[in-house]
Amino acid sequence: MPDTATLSQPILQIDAVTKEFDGTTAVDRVTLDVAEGEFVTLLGPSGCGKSTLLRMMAGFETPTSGRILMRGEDMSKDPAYEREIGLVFQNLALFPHMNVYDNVAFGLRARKRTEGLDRKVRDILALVGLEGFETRRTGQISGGQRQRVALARSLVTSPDVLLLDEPLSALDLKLRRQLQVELKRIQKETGITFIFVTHDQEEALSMSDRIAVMNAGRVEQFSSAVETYHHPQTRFVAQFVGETNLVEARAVSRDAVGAVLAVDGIDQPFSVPLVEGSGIGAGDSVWISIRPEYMTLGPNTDPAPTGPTLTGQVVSHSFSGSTVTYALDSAAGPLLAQVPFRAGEGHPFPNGETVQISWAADTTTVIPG
Amino acid sequence: MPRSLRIALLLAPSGLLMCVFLYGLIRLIGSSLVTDGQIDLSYYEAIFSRADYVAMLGRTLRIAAMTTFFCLLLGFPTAYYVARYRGNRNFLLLMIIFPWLVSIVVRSYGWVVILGPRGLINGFLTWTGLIERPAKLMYNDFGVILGLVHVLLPFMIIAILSVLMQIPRNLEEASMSLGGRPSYSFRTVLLPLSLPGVLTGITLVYLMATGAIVTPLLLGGLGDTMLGTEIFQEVMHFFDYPKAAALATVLLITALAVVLPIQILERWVARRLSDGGSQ
Ligand SMILES: Nc1ncnc2c1ncn2[C@@H]1O[C@H](COP(=O)(O)OP(=O)(O)OP(=O)(O)O)[C@@H](O)[C@H]1O
Ligand SMILES: [Mg+2]
Repeated sequence: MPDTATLSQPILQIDAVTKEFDGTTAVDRVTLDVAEGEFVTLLGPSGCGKSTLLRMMAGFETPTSGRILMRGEDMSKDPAYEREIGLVFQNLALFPHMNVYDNVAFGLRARKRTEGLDRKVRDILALVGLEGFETRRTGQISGGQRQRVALARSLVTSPDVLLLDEPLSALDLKLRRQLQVELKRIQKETGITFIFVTHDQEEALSMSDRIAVMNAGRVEQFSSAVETYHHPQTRFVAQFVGETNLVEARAVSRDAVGAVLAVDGIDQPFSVPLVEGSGIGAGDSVWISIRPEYMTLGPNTDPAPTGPTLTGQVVSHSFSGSTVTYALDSAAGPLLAQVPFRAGEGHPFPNGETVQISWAADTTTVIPG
Repeated sequence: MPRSLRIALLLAPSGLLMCVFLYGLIRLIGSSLVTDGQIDLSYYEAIFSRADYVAMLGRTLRIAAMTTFFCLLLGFPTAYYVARYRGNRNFLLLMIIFPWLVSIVVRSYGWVVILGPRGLINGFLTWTGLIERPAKLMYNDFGVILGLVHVLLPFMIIAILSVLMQIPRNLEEASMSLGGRPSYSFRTVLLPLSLPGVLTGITLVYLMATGAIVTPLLLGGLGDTMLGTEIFQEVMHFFDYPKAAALATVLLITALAVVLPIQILERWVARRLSDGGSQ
């Protein structure tokens, strides 16, 4: 859906928003446009300002500077109860003195939209798979079911935007996977714009249309999941989203496709593609990121393959079902290589063995130094 | 040491206290009911046939009710403010409990200095010429209620605060994000959840106000005492123990008539809240 972002007016615009708490900057000049119906994820480590940004959208904090616009109108000063924005809290914040039905009906009653209330509540309970739980109290249902109540409660008023602050972080892995799929389905079915917060990059990649990677209050990159993984624009993004090899390199010259790079330990400079407007010129020092799964390993005796190639020693290896990940030591620094594991072959490279490490030049992402 | 023995040892002091207390209570009620081995209701007849005693009972209950009302009115917002205070909450708590370190006589007397005919307020008003003769700010119900609210307010605040601290701030935010205006959020979320504390506060303050002695003595009018003060005087000045006991029993029963239903309500509310909570 990212292409619709460029076509129609964004439903939500965060315009250079900054939030300071007595001296510390929690959110630093963040600018984001979110398209209607989009699933956007705020991804970042603990303390990077995700919740603070979300709370400003919900109306619980006022930005120190900058504006938040809903369908083009500035709502930075509107109180929370006047915004058509739902929020699923990290700790859910279900009302303990109400049963499931009353929890879900709360928003409709608060907004005095009681016409067809029963129908709406029952429909939404069906959508999240909670029929028959109406009269249960919130202390009498499981963690996953509470999660669904929280979701249903925020969805029943059909908000323009639904904010979700790490709603799945308290659940075990299996339930978490299941609810990720369900959340995505519910988002599709309702067509409501979701802004989802997580610090789990896998969760972000599997669910989002677009991901805003945050670090220390700033958005480092805002792009589609595929783009974020395959073309990280900063070292932080490259390292935070998936495993990667970051290697220092030097741009020798520019050529038709991009740049020719030289790396310590690699005999031949090699040519890599550059994204447009990267501003990298001859002589610049840069970083390159190569995902472990793009690395290939071979015996040191093999003739050198076509791509960038260097030698290194196997430090350790770990087996994970269909792949083996080797930790290697090379002239370019420590590297990771994830190679397919074929049953019957065993681990071809024992620890300490010298191997040939290579990758295809066009799987290299160049990051300005 | 076996578990049961340990529990028994731990309970022993409280058992002793209970026995002494119950013995006193039974003797008290007994002395008002029994004369020379015969059931004798004459003390009660005497009390209820005297219009001034009936009026005193009514005034006691009225003043206690008003005191409780004002304590609630002032106590809830204060407790709420403290519970949601982001800074040094312990300092605020200290300020609330601080008056307890000062004797109740001194605190009540402080009001005489402020409200009295030559007190701070009257002195200032006559000095500015706004009034010619001192206004009657004390030696009446107003003075007593003011004094009692001052003395008993901390109990109300602490009772409500202890419950408010258990309510996550998130719940109010959840209500607001669902479109609940502050008044709606208060009515549907904060108030029901804080009800156990409110009821405890009401019970405490009401009970203590009905039995108040010192404050009405110092700040009340001569003609219109409260029951607690009257009992005190019957004992200390006239040594009429059976009559004091009868008055005390009347006070006890009227107080229980209000407090017991509140206690039952509180149990009920607490039970309803607890099987929904714990998440
Ligand atoms: N009310 C507040 N007062 C002072 N500082 C705050 C407040 N709220 C957040 N901060 C600070 O702002 C920064 C960002 O906090 P925030 O809660 O937004 O992080 P987060 O990305 O949501 O982290 P997490 O993943 O741990 O939830 C932190 O350094 C935090 O200490
Ligand atoms: Mg957070």
